[in-house]
Amino acid sequence: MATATTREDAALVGPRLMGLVVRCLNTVSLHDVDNAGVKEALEELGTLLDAELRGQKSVELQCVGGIPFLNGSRMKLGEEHLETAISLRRYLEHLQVQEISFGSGLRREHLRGFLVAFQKHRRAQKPQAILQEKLGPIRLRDVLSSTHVLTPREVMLRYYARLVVLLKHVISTGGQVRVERFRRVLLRLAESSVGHESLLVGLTRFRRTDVDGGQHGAAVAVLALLMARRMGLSRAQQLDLALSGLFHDLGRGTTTLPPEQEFDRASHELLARRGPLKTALRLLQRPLDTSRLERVVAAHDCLQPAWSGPVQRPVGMAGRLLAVPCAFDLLTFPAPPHPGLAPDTALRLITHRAGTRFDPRVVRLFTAVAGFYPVGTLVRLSGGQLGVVMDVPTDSAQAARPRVRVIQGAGKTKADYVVDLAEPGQRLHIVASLDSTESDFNVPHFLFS
Amino acid sequence: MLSPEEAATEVGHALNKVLGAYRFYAEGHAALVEVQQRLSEAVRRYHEVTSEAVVLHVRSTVLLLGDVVLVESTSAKDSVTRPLFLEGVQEVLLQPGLEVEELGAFLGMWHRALQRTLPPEYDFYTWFWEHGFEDIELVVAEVPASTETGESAQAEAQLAEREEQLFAELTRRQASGSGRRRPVGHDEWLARLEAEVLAPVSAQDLVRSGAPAFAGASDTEVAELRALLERERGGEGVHERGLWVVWDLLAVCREEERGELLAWMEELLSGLVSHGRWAELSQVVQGMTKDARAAGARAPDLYAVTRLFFREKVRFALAQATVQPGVLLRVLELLSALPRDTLQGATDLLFELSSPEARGALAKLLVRRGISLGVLVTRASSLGEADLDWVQFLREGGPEALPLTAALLAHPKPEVRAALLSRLSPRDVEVQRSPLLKLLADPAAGVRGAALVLLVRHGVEAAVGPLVSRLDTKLEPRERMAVLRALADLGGPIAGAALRLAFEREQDTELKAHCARCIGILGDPRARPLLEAVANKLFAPRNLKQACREALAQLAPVG
Repeated sequence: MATATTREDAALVGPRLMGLVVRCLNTVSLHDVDNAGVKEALEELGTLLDAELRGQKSVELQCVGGIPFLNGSRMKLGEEHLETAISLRRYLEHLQVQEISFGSGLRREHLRGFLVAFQKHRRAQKPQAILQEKLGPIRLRDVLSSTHVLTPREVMLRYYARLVVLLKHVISTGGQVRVERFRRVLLRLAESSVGHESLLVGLTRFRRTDVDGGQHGAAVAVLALLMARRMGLSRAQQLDLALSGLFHDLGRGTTTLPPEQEFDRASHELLARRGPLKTALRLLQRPLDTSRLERVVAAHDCLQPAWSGPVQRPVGMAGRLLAVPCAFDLLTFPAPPHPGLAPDTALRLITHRAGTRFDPRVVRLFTAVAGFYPVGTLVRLSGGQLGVVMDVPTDSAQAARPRVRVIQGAGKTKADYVVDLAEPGQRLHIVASLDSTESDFNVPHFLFS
Repeated sequence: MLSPEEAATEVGHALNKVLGAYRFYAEGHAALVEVQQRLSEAVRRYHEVTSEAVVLHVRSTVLLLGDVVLVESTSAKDSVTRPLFLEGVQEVLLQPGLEVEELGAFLGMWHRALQRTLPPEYDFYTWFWEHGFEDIELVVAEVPASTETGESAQAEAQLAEREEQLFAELTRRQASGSGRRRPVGHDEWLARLEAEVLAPVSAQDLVRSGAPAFAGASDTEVAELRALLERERGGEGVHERGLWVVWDLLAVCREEERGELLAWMEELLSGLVSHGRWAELSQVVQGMTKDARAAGARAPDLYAVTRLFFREKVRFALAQATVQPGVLLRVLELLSALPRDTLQGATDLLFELSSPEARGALAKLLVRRGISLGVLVTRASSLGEADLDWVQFLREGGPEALPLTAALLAHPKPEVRAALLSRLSPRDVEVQRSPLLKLLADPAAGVRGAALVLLVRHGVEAAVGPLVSRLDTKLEPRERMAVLRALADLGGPIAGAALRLAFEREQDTELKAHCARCIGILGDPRARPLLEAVANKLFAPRNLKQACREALAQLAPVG
């Protein structure tokens, strides 16, 4: 309940505070600090801050990458706030300030002092010198003090969450698929994941509580994006492949089997085979559009080798590329309550089927990208510790010796440190991997925190 | 030396000119290239003056460079910055070293965004990003989803809420729902896994061994995969593979989904036909037939799909294609691969083919496959004179021979009727006697003449009656002569009587003389008194008397 109130408050107070700060900075850049307009704006700001500071030590207004935050939570902005957010960014970035913190004991003189300092430095050679000013309880910082603000990793996580939610929404409502929206989210995800490629695999390792088409589609999209990047495809091709992965099975999760059919293989198979049909029915419209048709073909080819009759069909490359991450995801997260395979076991199974069910070249590419113990795998070490695989070793000879974040020491003690198993002299090695349902840990938490 | 403000103003002027020029000139036009060049120079000068990147600040109605307003419009709606602003673009950075081509490409994009002619599935930012500019960067803020997404504001808020929840869930230390694991039998579990990935799973696959059989992907292999994917992306073969996809989906679709699938199939087929992908089409048809033979349940699908070849769209495309030289054979090859029952619909195609050769070849194919061409009888009027050549083989044998000839004899076009008459065999004349006799009274003179010649040639005595009655009507002298001559050739008492009567009644000397000659040819002795009377007449015309005398010489002697 308390959390809900805080969230609501942030939704109201954030834009108001931002608006007032911008108003103050705006007027002060045109007029003298003692101008009546400035005084009025300052008074309003002061009143708002007084009210806010009654319950907490400090109020932090932050602006990172043009996105405004209040005390680390992202503000919910409407179109009417856009101009203000842009102005805030313009003022703060010029000063190289990312955060303004208003501490308790704030008085009007402090606010006035801040505005004077602003006036003094905004036209100066080095506007960032404002950071050195002593402004009492008002502190300006060029980095964020609060841990609440999203790190690049968390930004990645957020876009992934958005992808999942949007896809789930599309699957469940049966509304029109607006590809450009998904393309934009994928683009953001792709952008934010530069330099954190191995974490993209980790993104797909979240526990799922029900048959979730959104998570499956998003996981395949992310893995496909990663493979595309490894292949050195152009940006457009990367996104196209990822989009094909995203929409490869728009039927997942929409139909559930009655309990008596739950263990019937044929029913499951039919359900699986109807996935591409659902995709086609949702994506295709007459007259047929080539790019959408390509997506449907990829969705179909993804299952096709297992499916074809006596006639050998041409199987598209996109379909082959998607088949492996799709199978990997389905093996590791089959529909609950069925337990999944451990990622490395799933990978081993897929490798065994290379050449028959899967294209061996694609399997090799996938293993190179995901690693033998894919990032996010929960592993037991030889010392009895429990850890999470953190990255993919670049040297394939060391494939089974990744960096591991130990999250539980021997004897179930609490632990949090990273060991590099490939380090010379490192005695620890991986004994076994655990499937995602074998422990209570939310593995990605450790990857992304 | 320019001041930074002056340099910025110059950039503004040039930018305004370029954006204006796009309204009048097409991409690549010399005038447009020139203004782009000028803008590029202005940007370069700004770089030289300030040694900093050009940072264009995008506002809803204004574009700023530093404090200099470059573009300003009175309302947000008409602003050139609008498409960028709505997508959250806050700054456009033009870095030093920017090439004019790159600048041109960017401005082209901007213009297309203004015109709302961006490619489908793209917005300005995604297109910009995928293009991958080297010296142009955008600073883009997160913006609320635009109101055009079709979702209501409430739905959007709900989505944002769910995103928040999921984000919180994902970052939690302990996972929820781990207690929901249900014990299941090993076999069931394996079956489930197999069904998920559609591959057999053996227990050995699931053994947790520590020895990794791990092979990385080599660079050449990766390059090979990339090349394959790139080739595919050119759209090559996607329609053909689309056909296979729809064929496979037909196997798992429900009745209510079938119509849509078949409509896609029809579109794909007509596309491939109009692009002349005969080899692929034949392959697909053969493959589908094989599938249907292997699994009987697929036979209805096969019929449904192959029948599409004769639906309006594909049929039209097929007919169009046969106009090109050499294509006819491919089309026939394709059609001959279709199941027999489907070909029942091919008769419509027959009438849509423009060349008679094509029609003939298709008709032969259909007859060979045992398809009845009875429709030709009912639609004979659609056939032309040129079709008579290929129709010949149908008229000569087969169940449609008789009705088809009869129908053609009743063809509305006189040329066709006349041309057909010249092709009739003795057997036809015998069998088609009554329609032929009717043709003696045909409205077209040419047809009447041809029928007359034909009937006389084959000595059809039954023609005498109709010919006699023709004499009672008003005829051109030449035709009258021909009728009289025909009666003489056919002979018989009725013909004789008719000739006598005609001789008596005829007023025209020329015709009367012709009549006498015809009586001579017929050699009717009962006409002797008539002829003698005229021959001995004192004041009869000379040529008439001469004709009568010649006829009298030909008559059989009395008794």
